[in-house]
Amino acid sequence: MNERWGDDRKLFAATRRAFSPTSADAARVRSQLDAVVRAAALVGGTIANDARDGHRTEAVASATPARQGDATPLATALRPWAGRLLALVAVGALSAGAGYRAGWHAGRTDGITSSGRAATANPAAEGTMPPTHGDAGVSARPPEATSSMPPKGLAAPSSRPTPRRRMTPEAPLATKESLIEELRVLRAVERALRDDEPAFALALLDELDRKIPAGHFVEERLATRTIARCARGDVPFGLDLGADFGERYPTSVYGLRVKEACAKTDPAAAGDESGRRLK
Amino acid sequence: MFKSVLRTTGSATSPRGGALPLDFDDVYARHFAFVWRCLRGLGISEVALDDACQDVFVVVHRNLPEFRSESTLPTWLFGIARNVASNHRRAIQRKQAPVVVLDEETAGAAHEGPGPLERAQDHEAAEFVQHFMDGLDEPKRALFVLAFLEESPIPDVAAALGIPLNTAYSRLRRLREDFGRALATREARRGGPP
Repeated sequence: MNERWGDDRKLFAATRRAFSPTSADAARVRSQLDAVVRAAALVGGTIANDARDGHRTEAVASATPARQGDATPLATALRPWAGRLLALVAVGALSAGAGYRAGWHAGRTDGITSSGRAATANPAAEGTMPPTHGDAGVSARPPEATSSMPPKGLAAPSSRPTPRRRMTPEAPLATKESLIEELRVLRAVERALRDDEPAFALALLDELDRKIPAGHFVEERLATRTIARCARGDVPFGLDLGADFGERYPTSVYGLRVKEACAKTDPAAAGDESGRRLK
Repeated sequence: MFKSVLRTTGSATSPRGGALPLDFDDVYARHFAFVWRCLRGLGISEVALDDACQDVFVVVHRNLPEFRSESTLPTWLFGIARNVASNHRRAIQRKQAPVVVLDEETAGAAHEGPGPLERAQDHEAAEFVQHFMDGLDEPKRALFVLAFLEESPIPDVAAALGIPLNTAYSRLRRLREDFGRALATREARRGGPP
């Protein structure tokens, strides 16, 4: 029996190895988790779900919820603050001044805003006070984004917002639905990347840029876009996609993933006259 | 030598016995693999693991400041993982989503060190163990995961599952017998040991 049990333990050890996550799994889940926590901080509170209490909204375990139009745990995690988010948005819109307009407009030239950085860079995001869009646009933007030129390494969105929409504080950003939708799409993008479908991920991101050009999760969008482009083999002229992201977000939790994804492309070959794409 | 996470008791307690604040990053780094394995063992499919794991750590993030070392940290984590897994299973049943079985690609992705042969062997073992666990009810499955896969001390397992120690021992004995029979049947079909 003991000998038999020794064999069983080998089986269990093998199962344990097969069940164990990789470091990439840990990094991926962590980056998604950071987005959720940041979103919760953005609306002025901590995550209010509790599986132990039985109050937790049931998680969706569908393989591809985004493609099926289902709610995700990310979305359900934010529902308790839906009303508060609307209130915060209203306060933000009222307090937005010239700084907001100038900063937001400058940061929006390629369909990307820096408002998402406020959740981490602004102490107000910890829940004591609502972050204003003006703060976000001015203080949290990466240095490169202050230029009126489009940031390097970013694909132009398929459909740019009109100037009127870009200058309007009540742009699509200011709804709880847009925040939930953005999180839902970003999760779908993560899945697409995990499934080795960079083209699908880029299509989702393009669609997200079109639907919600002024989103909260600028860093996440740029990170996933960079990873997808590198995975697809894009070698834009004179640009190292991975290095460009690293310069913009040197402390990003996505840094390692971006670096690994872009390691396969050779920046030295960027702008190769043949225009070929490296695998 | 594998060391059960449940054996790392007292991580939240100072030498004087007082509670120390736990750092979320540290908890995540030390226990992510444990949570991930438990969720897989509790029946979460590969495609839903990210969501489930995230759900667990969202709860941890929220409640960690109030964690008072009343039980060991891994025991607490397992309790959360068990509830999250239960919710996921209910969602799957309601949606009648297809259950994704462990395939070669996903099995291979779970490894970073061993070579193809070892991975194939591990995958084969995992497939059998998972198949066996799929036939267990939830309490037995939780017991199996903690006691056999995670090799946790039985008293800790009993505490984590909230059952008397003697009950845990007797259930484990029956589980071990059932597993032995399943393995013998498999070997008989294959004509030799695994």
